Amino acid sequence: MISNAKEASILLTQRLVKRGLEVREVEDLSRHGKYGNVRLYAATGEVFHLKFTKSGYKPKDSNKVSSSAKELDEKLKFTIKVFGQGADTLNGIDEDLLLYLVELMGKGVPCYYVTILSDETTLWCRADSFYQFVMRYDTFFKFPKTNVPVCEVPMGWLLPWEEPLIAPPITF
Amino acid sequence: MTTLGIDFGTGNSVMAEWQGSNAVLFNKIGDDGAVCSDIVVDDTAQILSDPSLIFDKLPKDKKIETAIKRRLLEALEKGDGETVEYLMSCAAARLKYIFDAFSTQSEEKVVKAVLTCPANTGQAYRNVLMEIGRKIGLPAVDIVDEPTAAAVHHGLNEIARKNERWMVVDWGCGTFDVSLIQREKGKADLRVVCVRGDNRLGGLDMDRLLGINLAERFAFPAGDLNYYEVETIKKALSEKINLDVPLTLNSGKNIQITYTRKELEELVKPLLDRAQELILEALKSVGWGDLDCIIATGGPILMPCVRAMLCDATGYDEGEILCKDPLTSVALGAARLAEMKRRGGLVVTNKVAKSIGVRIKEGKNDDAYHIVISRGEDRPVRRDVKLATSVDLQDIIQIEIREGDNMASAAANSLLAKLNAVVRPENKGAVQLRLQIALGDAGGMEAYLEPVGDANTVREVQAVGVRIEKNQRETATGELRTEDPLTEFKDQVLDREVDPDTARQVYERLKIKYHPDRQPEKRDYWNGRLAALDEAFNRYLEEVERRMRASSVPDLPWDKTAELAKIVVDEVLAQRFAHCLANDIGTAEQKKSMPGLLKRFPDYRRVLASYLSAVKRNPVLQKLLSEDDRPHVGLVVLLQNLPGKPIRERHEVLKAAYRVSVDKVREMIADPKLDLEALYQEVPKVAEAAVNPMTGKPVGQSANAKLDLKFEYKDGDTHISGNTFPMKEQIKQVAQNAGSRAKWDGKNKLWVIEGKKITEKDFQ
Repeated sequence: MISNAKEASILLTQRLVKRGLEVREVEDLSRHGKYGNVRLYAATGEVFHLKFTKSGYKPKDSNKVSSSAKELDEKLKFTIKVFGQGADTLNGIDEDLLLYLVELMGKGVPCYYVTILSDETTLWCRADSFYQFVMRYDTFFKFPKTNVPVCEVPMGWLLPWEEPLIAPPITF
Repeated sequence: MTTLGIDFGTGNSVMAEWQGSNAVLFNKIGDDGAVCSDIVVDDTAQILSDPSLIFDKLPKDKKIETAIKRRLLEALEKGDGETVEYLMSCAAARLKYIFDAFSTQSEEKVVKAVLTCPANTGQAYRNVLMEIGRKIGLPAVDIVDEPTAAAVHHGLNEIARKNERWMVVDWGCGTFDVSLIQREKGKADLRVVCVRGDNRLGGLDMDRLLGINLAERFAFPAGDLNYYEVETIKKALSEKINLDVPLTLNSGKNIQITYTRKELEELVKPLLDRAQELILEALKSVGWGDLDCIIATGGPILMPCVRAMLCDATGYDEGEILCKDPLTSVALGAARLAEMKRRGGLVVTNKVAKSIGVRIKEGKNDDAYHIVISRGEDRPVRRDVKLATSVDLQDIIQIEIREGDNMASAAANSLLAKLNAVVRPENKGAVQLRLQIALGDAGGMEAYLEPVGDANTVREVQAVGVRIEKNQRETATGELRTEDPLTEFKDQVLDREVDPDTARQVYERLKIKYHPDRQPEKRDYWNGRLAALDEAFNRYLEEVERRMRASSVPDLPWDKTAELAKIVVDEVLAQRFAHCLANDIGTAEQKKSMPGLLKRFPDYRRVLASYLSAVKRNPVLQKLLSEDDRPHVGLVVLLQNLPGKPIRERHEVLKAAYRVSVDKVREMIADPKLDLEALYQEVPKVAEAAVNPMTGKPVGQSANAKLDLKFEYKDGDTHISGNTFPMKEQIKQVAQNAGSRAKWDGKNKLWVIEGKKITEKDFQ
């Protein structure tokens, strides 16, 4: 069981090392108020943005959603239905953090978004894929108390870290 | 200094040594050099390699492992790793016993060794022999076909006086082989042009038939029979026409048996027929009528009926068939070959007995087989194949090199080796590797894996069961940009003829990868290369447009509604539907079905809009997107794909897209004069004011707006506070531009820029 971002970053570091990467620096973003967010910088230049969350976010039942939030609720549930592959939760990252990763990618740095749940489930994708999905389906969630919107994607849309990979196709 | 030849047979193993100008049998052990290949094993699985134990009365705690070579070949075919491991240790024990005996009696240093194998065996057995050779301490091991070694013993080592055609039949205790060998006038090099064989056809099978027949005739259980005694009877019948001898059974009971050669010949006739069939098949396959020489070797050649079969199959007299030293010619020839190979210059070209290929994924089938080196090709051979990642973000490519000719299932073929390449995660297909497989003259296999294009896409190569060329274990590190964007674009797009959306993704990835900021001292150079990339991409799009009309519809059961309803639409198929719809390809019925089929792909709007971005304008795609229930998705994708826009600016435009009314979006997309650049400018202008999606109330500054910053000036320094986190990089940049440095003051939670006055204007 993983109970905090530090443990999650240790787990991710181990997984990255197993895949031949050397982690040069770990930046904990909680000191900037971005709790659960950690950035891992690989010696080969890649950036892995880790978001630790105990579990995914499950949208409220439609009858409990206020009329002003109905439109967003419909968009979120649409993506869960179409791309969730059976999982009914969402996973997200603050808009500013995501934009920062996209900007880094624009400068030639490969960036990946990784999320680790309490049960060690690890999901990931490229940061720009995440961004494009959110923009495409307008899945910005804004909590009333914060000024920064959260970009949400269905949990089932993210790729499992342990995806068994089989022999590749031939290309001619 | 000396060289050795070793023939590890199913019945006996023989070793010969090169001495000056001749190959000499090592006969200090065994029956005149022939050491029984069987092994005694005790009940703790300890191997007792002394062959004399086999013929003693064995206590109950010991057993004999027989026909090790034959069983090893079978286990390799079945892919039974545990049995292979066990039998390998038995085989190694037998060969080590012989080699150790030689080492203790010879002061010569062994510099090269040749081990022999049946001609009709694949790479797996050759690898096993190579491994055994290394394990027992043989230096520089080469693997040679048994018939070739026998041929060399019979004079195939000298310069050919004319173009020659030789046939070698090697019938051993466990296997049968026929090799057709060719030589050119004036050369010593050998070329094996055809190999046929059966690894379940040997003297052992004759013994079994004879044993069963004896048990039936003299009424004793077949299990009570000592098969070494049966072999003796078989051998004796080669010398005598009638036999009347006592036979001791395992139970200790003695019986008197009478048997005739004729009876034995009738019994083994089916085996002779199978052998003859293989010989005729080999001769027919190369169209040889006349032969310059026929060589026969192996224990069964001593039987008159086998020699008669050879005469019958070839039309030659028995006197014309060279069958001297049938039990030792392979080892003697191997020793001679070892010496010739040590001196160098001799080229032996063999045939590949079984195809070698890789396991691949084809569509949903992850057990497909792709042959790299085909059965029957000349050996030595080196072939290469390009492999690519099969899913997005794939970071390990597992390559299974297999041997066999079962095209239906890769797993059904024997696993030779595994190569794992740890690669940089990219979009599927973006990482490409070239796999080279080489079957060498020495009998070994090597695999070589190298990245296509960017050398840094491969981090590490791990190998199991294969020798990999030196440096391949090294992890590639260093500067990412060692290649050129145009070369990569050519490799990944132009040469592979990918669809426009994939081409655009590759193009964008290359723009990121070769961004001039990564190497500021060469900024002008990289700007130039990226401009050339832009030009190549535009030319590609024009070419795509020109060629679109030549394409055909996907091969689907169009006229079977029920089957069509079951089709799973993946990204590739969705791309093809978009392509057909955009270019009016297909019958009216097909075109009518396509939108419905396309919509089975969850992200179909992205596919349609990406295609539209690539071709800029298309009435059919525009109509589909504008009439879609979520037209905003298409609009966002069109805006996302527009090249050359600053990230933050584009971000605001994309967010604005969802604030444009549905009707307006439909109108904009359906516009016959659709202009994506104009659309990008227009969207923020027609968008409504931003609202908090949770409360519906208008929002103030967005998270990344610069006005969230607060500027204070103290002792000539600038203090920046407020929501600084999203602006962290810009603050650092602005400080650097002003000739200072930005320092984070964690205690007061603000940024300090020393000695400079920075204002809001500096951020604009």
